[in-house]
Amino acid sequence: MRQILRFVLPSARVLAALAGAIGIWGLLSLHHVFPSYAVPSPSAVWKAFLYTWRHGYLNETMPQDLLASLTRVTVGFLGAVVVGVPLGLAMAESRIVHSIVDPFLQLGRPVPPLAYIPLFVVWFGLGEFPKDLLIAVGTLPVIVITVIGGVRKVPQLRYEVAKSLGANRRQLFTRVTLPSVLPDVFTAMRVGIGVAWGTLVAAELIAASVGLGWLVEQAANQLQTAIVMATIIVIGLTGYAMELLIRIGEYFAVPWRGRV
Amino acid sequence: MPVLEFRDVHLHFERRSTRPAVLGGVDFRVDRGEIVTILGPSGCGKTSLLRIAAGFLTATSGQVLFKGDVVKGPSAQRVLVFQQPGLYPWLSLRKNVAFGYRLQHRQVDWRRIDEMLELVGLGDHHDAAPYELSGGQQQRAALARALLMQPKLLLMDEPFGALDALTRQRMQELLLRLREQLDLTVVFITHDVEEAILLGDRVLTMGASPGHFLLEQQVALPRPRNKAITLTPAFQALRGEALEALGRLTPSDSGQWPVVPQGDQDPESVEAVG
Repeated sequence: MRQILRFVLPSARVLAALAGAIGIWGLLSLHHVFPSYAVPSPSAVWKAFLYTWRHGYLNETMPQDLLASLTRVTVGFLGAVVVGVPLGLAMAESRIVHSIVDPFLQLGRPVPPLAYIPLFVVWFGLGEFPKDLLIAVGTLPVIVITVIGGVRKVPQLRYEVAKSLGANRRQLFTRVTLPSVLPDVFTAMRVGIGVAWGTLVAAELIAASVGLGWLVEQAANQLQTAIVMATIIVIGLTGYAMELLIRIGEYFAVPWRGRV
Repeated sequence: MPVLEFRDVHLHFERRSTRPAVLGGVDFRVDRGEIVTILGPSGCGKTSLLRIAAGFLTATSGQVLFKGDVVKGPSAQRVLVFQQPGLYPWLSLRKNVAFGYRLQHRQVDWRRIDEMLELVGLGDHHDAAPYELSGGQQQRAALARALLMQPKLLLMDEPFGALDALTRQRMQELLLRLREQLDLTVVFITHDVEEAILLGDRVLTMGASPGHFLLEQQVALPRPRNKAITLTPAFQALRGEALEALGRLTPSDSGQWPVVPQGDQDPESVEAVG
């Protein structure tokens, strides 16, 4: 329990940095350095947050937006992990698989997820599926590439020890490769969850009527800067919370990380 | 039938166009119950020789026979112990020791594992994670893991080379003790002259480019041995002979081995030919 708290509780230094940032922000708005539609005061953002949380903005309340976005990110992210980890392992283990999949991966990687939207709408309509898929497609490459990198950097000694003790090919994979790449799978997930949230706003441009990304977009159109900022903070905190969850999982699954 | 036999083994590196020779016609045999140490400076091809015996490398020409059969790859019958322990950090010490055994068996008799840990002096650390142990303890565990396979041949590639001097001495004494307790046949590689003679029934001294044997010595020192034997004249004579073969020492006119000059010369640099 204490170990979990170590992850979750911010240190005094972190709290001081946050308080300092809010203080500077408050001073800037207090002295009207920027117009209030550009930089609303911290209290205005807090009020906007409370109002949107309770009463909503354009029909949907913040909890509904949060739930919708959380579901999309989770589904898309888990889809990317479930496909990406085995795919990365297969690509690292088999030259044939690698030469078939790699060109598509390399071609797809520089394409911003936004560019897929028209295609996905034509192919899959306007429901939840194209949004989940977009997040999965945006997150997949970083997971695949991190897992491949993980397999490549397994120390040769680990394989030679196992071979010398009589391990066959299957055993080398299950008893050496898989546990060896576990830390990299967690790295892939930690990077991936950030990318998934990054893809969310793009995903919610697809005819959404609820969601945090949608809310940012709508509030921005109405120049409701306070709501935009409140929503951005909610996205940041939620994404951070999900990364913390992965880190806690990592702590228990990979206790040797950083010690070997 | 010898446990291991090399017949005119040559090895060339294929990767360069010059195909430099690593081993140039190596012949030797190892009989059951022997500890054969192979002594040589780094780069002389001794590790390549051991990797050929382990089945990790294939000789360019010549024959490598293990109990009469051609070596065709690694096997749990001839386990290699590396310079680095290579324990798996996700396994407890006990499970690391059982790693090789569990590749072939579903059931493990954990009492046997504990006995083995006891034997190498790690009785109190069953459930420790490898990274919680010192380098010497990790190497003991690596040795226990290999011994549990009851290999017909134990191949050791400078297994104590990465340890500090005191820990190395303890490990040497451990190996000497194990050889009295177990039925061991060992090929042991080192660049430390004293270690080679202390541990070996026979010492094969190697020269480089291409790797070949310069000298074969029968070590007719009594067993069981301990470190004190290194102080005897018989031991020093063997050591002088090996150093001379390596070109590190020349006999004086009187035919007696001169005392290594003291002063600015570091005795370590004379001893280790690496």
